[in-house]
Amino acid sequence: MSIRVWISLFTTVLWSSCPLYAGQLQTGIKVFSNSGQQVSANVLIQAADLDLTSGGTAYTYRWKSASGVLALADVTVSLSSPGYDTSVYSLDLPFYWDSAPYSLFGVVTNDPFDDASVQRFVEAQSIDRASMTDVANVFSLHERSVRLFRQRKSIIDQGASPLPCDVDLAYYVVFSARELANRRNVRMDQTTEDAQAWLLGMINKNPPPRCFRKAGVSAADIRIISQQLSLSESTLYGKLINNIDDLMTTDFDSGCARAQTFFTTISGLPDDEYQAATAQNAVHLRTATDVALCLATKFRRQQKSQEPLANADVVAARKALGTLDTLLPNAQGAEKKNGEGRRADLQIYMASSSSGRTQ
Amino acid sequence: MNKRLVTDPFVRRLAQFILIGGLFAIFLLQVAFLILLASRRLELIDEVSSWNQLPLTILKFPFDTDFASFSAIIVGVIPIAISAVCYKICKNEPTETLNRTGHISVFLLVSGTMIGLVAIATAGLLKSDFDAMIGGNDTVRIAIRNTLSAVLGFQTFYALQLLGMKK
Repeated sequence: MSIRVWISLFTTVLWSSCPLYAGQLQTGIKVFSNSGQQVSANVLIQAADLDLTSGGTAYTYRWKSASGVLALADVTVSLSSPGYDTSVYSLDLPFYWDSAPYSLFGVVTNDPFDDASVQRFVEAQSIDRASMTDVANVFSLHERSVRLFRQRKSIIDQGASPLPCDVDLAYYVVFSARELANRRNVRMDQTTEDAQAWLLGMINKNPPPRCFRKAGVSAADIRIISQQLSLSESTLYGKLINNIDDLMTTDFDSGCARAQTFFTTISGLPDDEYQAATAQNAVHLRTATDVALCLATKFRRQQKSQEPLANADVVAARKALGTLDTLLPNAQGAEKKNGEGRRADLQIYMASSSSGRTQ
Repeated sequence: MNKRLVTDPFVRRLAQFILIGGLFAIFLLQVAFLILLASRRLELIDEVSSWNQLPLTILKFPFDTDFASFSAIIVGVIPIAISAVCYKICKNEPTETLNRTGHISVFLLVSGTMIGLVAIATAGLLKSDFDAMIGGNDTVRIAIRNTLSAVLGFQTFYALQLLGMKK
């Protein structure tokens, strides 16, 4: 064999032994400074579930799963610059976000908080909805409006009267939060929740306060946005389970590993988050169904090769069956039919395995 | 200068016009500040514009530069320079009796003192609204407070001088 063939063989082996990176995170920085000067910022990305390495250029990171099996990673991006407020946001990074570099943005800003400046900010934002196609603009709108609203709300809570521009500001907070939740799975922060609660409180008053009536915001719009925001987590989980199902059709074992990780995550959620996560899409039931299918397949294989069942798998199977028993009576349609089928399969395999063991 | 203010009718009228105009402008500024604060409190402001923010812009102006206090100069110079136009003239010499300009000036100064006191007190009482208006900026807060106090000081000083209690 020639030397070139050897080299190509060597590089192939080298590549396959190296850990491949699943995807890239790109963080951009935008500066909105009073003094008009360019400032530098430190970006800190924290993600316990991911291995992050520098992606070559500044603010670019390559990520792969730390444990090898990733369903949903928790990523926190914080941006600090001397003399400016630190901006922090958290997002959920699902495993299927690996095709293209994933762009995130941070904002360095010292927008003033006085009435006139807030009015100017609101007017400037109301002009171009078209620029929202660029996710960088949504990030900067969100981070700037959140910072302004946080301060304005604290002063309103101290007794200052709210102005129509404060209502517009709160609207931009929830509007941009909705966009970011849909486009980058950014989680709602406390300020967004405050803004949403404040706006809904005003809508539910009859008649709404003067500042709301004078602001150019429609009550129907706010209701829709807040509904979408509250469903955003459940929408994400729905997409995630769709992607796991897709993966199971092409790479069964890999899909199964993710389904099981996700099942553990979703079963362990605290009550309020569980409610938000499973508000639609029958996510929990579908995950349990997938896990039941995976375990039934595994048990069948093990029966064929006459291996004993692992204890952990039996525990997992019981848990999945328990979840199916709880959720199936209230389920409908294809999900119910599918779930019942997988439950029956799993029960049969478990029964035959255990009877095989006792003999 | 003092002589011309007494003898030359044109210079005298011009000085009277400037004096009344200046005192009225300061009085108006205090009233406008009070109205702005009150209407903000009562949620009557629909849109924050450069017009309704004008009192704030003027009040914070002298102090947000490194330049010497504008109000301090007014307090020191104007009353002494042109107070002659506030008295009646007898044989080309100013007397001790106030003329119409003098009366209007005293009225503007005394009512300005009252309004000024109310404005300062209101800015303290409606602290949160005042903070929202200036965005909690300490430099601006000090600037506005100092201008309001300086104006009040000027009005009191000049009123006392016109009323003959201070020579």
